[in-house]
Amino acid sequence: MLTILFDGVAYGMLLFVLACGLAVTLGLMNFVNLAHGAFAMGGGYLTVVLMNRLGVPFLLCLPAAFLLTAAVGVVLERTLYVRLYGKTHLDQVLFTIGLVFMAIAAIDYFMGAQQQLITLPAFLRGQLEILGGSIGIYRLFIIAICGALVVVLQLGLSRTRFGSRLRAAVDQPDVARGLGIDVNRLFAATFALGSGLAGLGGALGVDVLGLDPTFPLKFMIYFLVVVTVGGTTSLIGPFVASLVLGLGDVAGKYFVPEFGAFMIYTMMVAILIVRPQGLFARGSR
Amino acid sequence: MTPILATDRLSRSFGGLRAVNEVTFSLAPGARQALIGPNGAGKTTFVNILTGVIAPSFGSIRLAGEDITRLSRHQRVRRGMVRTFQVNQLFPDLTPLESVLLAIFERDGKAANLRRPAWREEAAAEEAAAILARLKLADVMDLPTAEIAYGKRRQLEIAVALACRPKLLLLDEPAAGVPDGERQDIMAAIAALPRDVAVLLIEHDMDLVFRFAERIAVLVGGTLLVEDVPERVAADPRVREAYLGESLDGRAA
Amino acid sequence: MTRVETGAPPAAAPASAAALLRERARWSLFDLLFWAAALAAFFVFPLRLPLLTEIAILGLFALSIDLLLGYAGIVSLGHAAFFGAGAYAAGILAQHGWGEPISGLAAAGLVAAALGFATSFLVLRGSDLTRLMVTLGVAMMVLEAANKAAWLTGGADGLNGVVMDPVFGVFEFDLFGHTAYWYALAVLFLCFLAIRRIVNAPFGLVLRGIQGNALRMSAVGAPVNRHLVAVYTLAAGFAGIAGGLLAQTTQFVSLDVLNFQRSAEGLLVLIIGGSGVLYGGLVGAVAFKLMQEWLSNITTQYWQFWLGAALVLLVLFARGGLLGLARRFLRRRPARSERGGAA
Repeated sequence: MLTILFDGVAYGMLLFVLACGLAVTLGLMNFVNLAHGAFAMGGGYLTVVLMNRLGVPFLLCLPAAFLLTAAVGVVLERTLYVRLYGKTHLDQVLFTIGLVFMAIAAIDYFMGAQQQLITLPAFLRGQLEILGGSIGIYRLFIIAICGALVVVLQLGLSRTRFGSRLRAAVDQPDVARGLGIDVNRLFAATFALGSGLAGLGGALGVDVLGLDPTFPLKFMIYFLVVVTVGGTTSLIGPFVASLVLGLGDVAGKYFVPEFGAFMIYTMMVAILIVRPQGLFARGSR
Repeated sequence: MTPILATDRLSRSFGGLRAVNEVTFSLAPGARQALIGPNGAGKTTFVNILTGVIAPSFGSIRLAGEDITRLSRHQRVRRGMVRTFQVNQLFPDLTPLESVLLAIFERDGKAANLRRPAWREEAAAEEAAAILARLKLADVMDLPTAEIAYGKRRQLEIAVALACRPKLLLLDEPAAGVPDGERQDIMAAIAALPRDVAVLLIEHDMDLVFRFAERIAVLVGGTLLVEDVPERVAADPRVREAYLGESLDGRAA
Repeated sequence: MTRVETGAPPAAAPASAAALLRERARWSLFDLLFWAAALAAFFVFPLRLPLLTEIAILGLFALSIDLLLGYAGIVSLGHAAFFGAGAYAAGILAQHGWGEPISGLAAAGLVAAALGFATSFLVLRGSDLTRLMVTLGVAMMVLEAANKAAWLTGGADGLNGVVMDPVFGVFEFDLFGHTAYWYALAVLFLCFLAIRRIVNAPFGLVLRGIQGNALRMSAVGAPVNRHLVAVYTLAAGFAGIAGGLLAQTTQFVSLDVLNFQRSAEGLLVLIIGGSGVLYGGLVGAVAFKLMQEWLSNITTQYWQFWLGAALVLLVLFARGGLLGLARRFLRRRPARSERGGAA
């Protein structure tokens, strides 16, 4: 029981780190980035290559995954995404699906279609026995890192200048522009942050979620659920949604394995029937 | 005679703020009434409650005697309460002809027809053309709406509403944003509205209000201040007081 | 198309209004050429009939998406659910001994339409984004269900043992795909006629109205949700017929009919051809399949990359699709008047 709870929380937190960038791009730029998972995949493969081919230690791979995907994100944002901001959601959807297909085929070409494995450093392997349940040390590590990230993000958003500008731009883009906030630079920085977090999540997730070229498609629905159920107006919404989703998915797979993936779909449908605007919608939007 | 519209202590608060406060109000069939008030007086909220965009916190609305407080937006339209919008709400890719026709089809319950070609509905097409001609839109009726001039689009707002065959027409600042040269057309269109349609005009432009309205209601701070004939409203000291600050500000800006 | 934009007499005679509408609904030379070419293809490419049949099926699938997306403006990431439901319905019927093709196809359409109707209530809710998630989620749910219900669908092994009776009891499905092509083309044509009728009927105006401005639709008294349920159900039904055709002509159904790639492919085909135009899906299907053939000859495995690249480029540079490009070319680029679109 404790194990499930623990795995679910770890899984949920990982989902949050993977998906929160999407929530921000959506809330800030009203941009539906279905290719968000491709950034996560990028971070994952980067880790695989760094560790398995170049022998870089795992702990160094994590910041590298963050920085490199953030850099790729900023380049793509400035060159491609920026052209799509004014367009319809349909155009954005088609465009980013196109990017997903390109990323999948490219990874397939360079890395092959098989599952990628990494060997975690010894101190992150193994189990801890607590209160009669066994807990994976790596799960604990994920919870610690993601938990710290959540705190940092929340504080960053509520306490720093960047954060207050970001919130202003999300709530009232026109007013923010009028106040002389450089919304374009804010967009680029946020996009970089979001992609970087996805990359970091991808790197952390290699051992837990698995990694193969179909990753962006497999997790697209999870990201969408987190964002639609959690909303984009705060970080708390997606965070709670991620935890619920993570716990539900893990518990579902454990208790009713024959239903497999149905668990999250059922949850999604149920939530939407009760709260069509998401769990944390504010007013009517 | 049953009033066409009757509200009873209609109220709506947002948080602690009473945007509309116990407005009791009625309109006779064929009335020519204006609803005025300074900015933030609750006019928009009032119209949104009437048309079903937001629900009242308290009170009721009757249309021709029938309680419509809980009906959805399109059901109110079906029963004869039709509105135009302050900011154009048109179909950019349809032509004016198609837009008006669409309203006629919905009105006549023919919109769900999957089989009969639209052009076979000759009576509807003729009616649409007649409405468009009356609003001086005949020459642009076959162009995409997005391509016609702004003033014409304001006219089309009214044409689409008329096609719904209203008993009560809510005109929300029909002349908003129209340059002076084209204002006359809008005024003429409003003056020529069928006499059996009751009209509630929500307007800032006092010139238009006093030319058109036979009665004027003044909303201030969400409360109905006066409801009377124009001369007496104009002479009312409370109205002057409510408007004084605003109109001075408005001129200065 | 060739309206004179200025100098028209101000008070057009009322009788001309119906004529103006009729003008748009006329058959044109293009219609004749397109279907003549489809017939001629049988004689010109007798060895490529399976490919031509695939094009017809894909065209019908894209046409069903066009009804939803091009006309009503609903973005769906899960239209494959209905294609797949139709495919399995037709396949399972035939596998269990009901091999009569036409009634099987009708059943495919009905099953898919029923699924569409049932799920439409979820799709009505919320914003664009919620719709993306719900349509994608429903499709994945159906895929998962088909995967788990292996006793019925064959699961990952696919549905084998689909045996079809002759069409009208006369035309056997032959090895060369002769019957299959005629059958698929005839079904495509009939569905095309039906959809053409729908979009030329008042309901077609309703769909374009909803896409243009749903708020105003409710302000003219339109029950927008009911209309949306209707179009979603219809589009699902036509997709089901397309799926049924695939099952019947290939006599096999695999889980592929339900996957995300199929939904995305349908969208891509429509975007290549041009959405909101009846021929968009059909022209797109031809272009897409030819491109696929050509690319997979060069790079057998990685043609998905080029598929993605095509999407990206189309969105950036040719949003109207091939038909949009053709129209612009034919008009010789008149000065584009987009004044005050948002004002």
